[in-house]
Amino acid sequence: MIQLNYISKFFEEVTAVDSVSLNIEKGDIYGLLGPNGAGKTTTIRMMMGIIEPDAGEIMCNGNLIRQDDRLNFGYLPEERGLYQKQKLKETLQYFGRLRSLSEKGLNSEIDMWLERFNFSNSANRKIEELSKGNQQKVQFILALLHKPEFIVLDEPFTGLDPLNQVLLKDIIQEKREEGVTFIFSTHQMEQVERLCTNICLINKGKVLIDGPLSDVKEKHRKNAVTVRYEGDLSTSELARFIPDHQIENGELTGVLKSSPAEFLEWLNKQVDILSFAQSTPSLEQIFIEEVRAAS
Amino acid sequence: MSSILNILKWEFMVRFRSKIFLISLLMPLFILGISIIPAMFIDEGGETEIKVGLINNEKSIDAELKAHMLESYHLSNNEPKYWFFDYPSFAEAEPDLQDKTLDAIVVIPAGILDSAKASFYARSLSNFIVIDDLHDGVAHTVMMKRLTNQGLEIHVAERASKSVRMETFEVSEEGDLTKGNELMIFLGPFFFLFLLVMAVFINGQLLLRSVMEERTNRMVEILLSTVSSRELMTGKILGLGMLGMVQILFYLSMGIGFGLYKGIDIIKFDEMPLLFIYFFSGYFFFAAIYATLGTLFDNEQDAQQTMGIVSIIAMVPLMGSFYFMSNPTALITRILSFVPPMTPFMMILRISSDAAEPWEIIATILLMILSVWGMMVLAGKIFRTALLMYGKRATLPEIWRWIRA
Repeated sequence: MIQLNYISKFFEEVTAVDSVSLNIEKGDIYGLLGPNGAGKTTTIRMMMGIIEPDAGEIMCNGNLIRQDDRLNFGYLPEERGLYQKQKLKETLQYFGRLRSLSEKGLNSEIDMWLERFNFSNSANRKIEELSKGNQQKVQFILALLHKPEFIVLDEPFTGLDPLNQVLLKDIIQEKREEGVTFIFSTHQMEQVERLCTNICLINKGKVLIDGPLSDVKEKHRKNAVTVRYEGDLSTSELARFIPDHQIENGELTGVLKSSPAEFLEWLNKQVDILSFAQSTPSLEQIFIEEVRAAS
Repeated sequence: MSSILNILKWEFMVRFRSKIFLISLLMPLFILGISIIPAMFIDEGGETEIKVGLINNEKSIDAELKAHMLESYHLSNNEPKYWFFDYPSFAEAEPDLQDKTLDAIVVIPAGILDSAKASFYARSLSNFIVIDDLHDGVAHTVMMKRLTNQGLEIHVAERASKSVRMETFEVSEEGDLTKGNELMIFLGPFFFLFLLVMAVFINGQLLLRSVMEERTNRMVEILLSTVSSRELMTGKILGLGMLGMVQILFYLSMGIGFGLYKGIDIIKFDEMPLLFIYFFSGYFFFAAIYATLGTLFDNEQDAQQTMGIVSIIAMVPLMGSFYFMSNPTALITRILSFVPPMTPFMMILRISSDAAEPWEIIATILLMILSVWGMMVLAGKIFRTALLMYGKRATLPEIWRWIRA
């Protein structure tokens, strides 16, 4: 479990991260969302120990995080690069060794991942000879190779074809079942909706929303209704339930002021209801709405 | 510790196997080769006979000149080196020079005993040994003629005009005498200095490139999520330091080989430990600077100017090496020995010229240890912050703030 307790980071006059607190439970797939420059990468860098927070603390499994704990983290940064002139397998070996993988376990683990990603014949090729998408897969292996408990992926799907996106998702699900915790930073809302169990929306360094995805959506479920009916609804009493409504060709739309049950009971007495629907906003709508409201 | 070792091994192996390293290893040899090999041939005097067209209008010295040249200059098989062919005029000799029947033409005017002026012609004047030989030959013959004309007997004249030579010897601490070779007395210290400068700068630049590469391709983010910036910097500096050791050992073995071939003591083995101490202290000092520069610039063109300034400081001992070697105990030489960026270079020069006092050696080593420590602390502070700065070049006030932080 990772806890960020009121962490802040200042770059001269700019507050990049402002008293952010998060609880990431074991086995979560945690989506870190926010517009560009919101402070996501800075938060991740502090989590990874690349930079130190100016205030607050980071806990790992109940204790203040130490350098050793970071060997338990895998990281795929957003801006990616590799040693272009070096061979694929040697690069993986180097990082495996840096993360204290035993010499014996190292090669079998590398071979397993190379096979899984269809790289068995490219093990001795130079990185620069691989396509961009394949280089991205190499970086994904780098994040997984040492069997970390926590994996931080910054925009992991951009640049991958649909087949490889599926492969990545399968591996993420497999690892999650093994108890690995994932932290995502992405702009691809549909990926977040499909994969994440929890989300946190950051804007201007502050947390706007945080919690399980279902709770967030429930909280943002709008009282927007669409009713199709037969009969006459030209009554002033309607404004008591939906002050700002529209009626067109037997279809009523508007935002409910009362509870849906109360409204339906009243409506049933006025007309024959053909259909009644409440709309749930997409994560993208929530994102836009919250960020606009905060600005 | 194991992280530092892993980074060290990686840096060493990656550079060791690269073509750039091979080129950097062979390039100084190549430069040295093209400057020394022709000189060696000239030193041998060239092993071919020279055909000289002689237009001698001073018949009184004709026989003496030819006899003197025949007696004084030989090829290694004892055949005469100079063959003379008489011509009545330059105009008749010139076509033979053009079609390479002749290698040179010497014109001796009548009255040379008074005018003391002769002329030499060749297709090219590059073979100065031939010019020297013929000049010496004509001058000697004219001098002999003048003296005998004054009534001296030839053997008296020969004895009177004999020049004095001085042989030089180097006396070691054990009292052994080594026959001196002035060129080599200068070459030895210069060779050490050249070695040190090459090793420091080649590896310093490799280090700069390596830091810059990891920063621009963002590998540094993955590295820093695994190791601390201090471990990263230390591993890199040590890895490339090892590479420098390999270069030095390679050049030293070349130097020893050359010395054995020429029968000269270029390398003094008792100076070896000091050489390595100064190499490492000099290398670490400059490596800290180069590693920091790697974090401050995004590409080599931008880094070039600042690198140039750093290099010039270290080049001072190399540029002034002949002065410092000739005046190893001069005040300026001693003062510069205590200016940290120059200390290792200056001391290498002075130690191999046997002109450094033991207290100076101890003091400069202590000075270098302190300077390296200070430089590493400063560099570490800048390195840690600047490593993750992208797109914006750090300003001097910013750097100053990081150092004070």
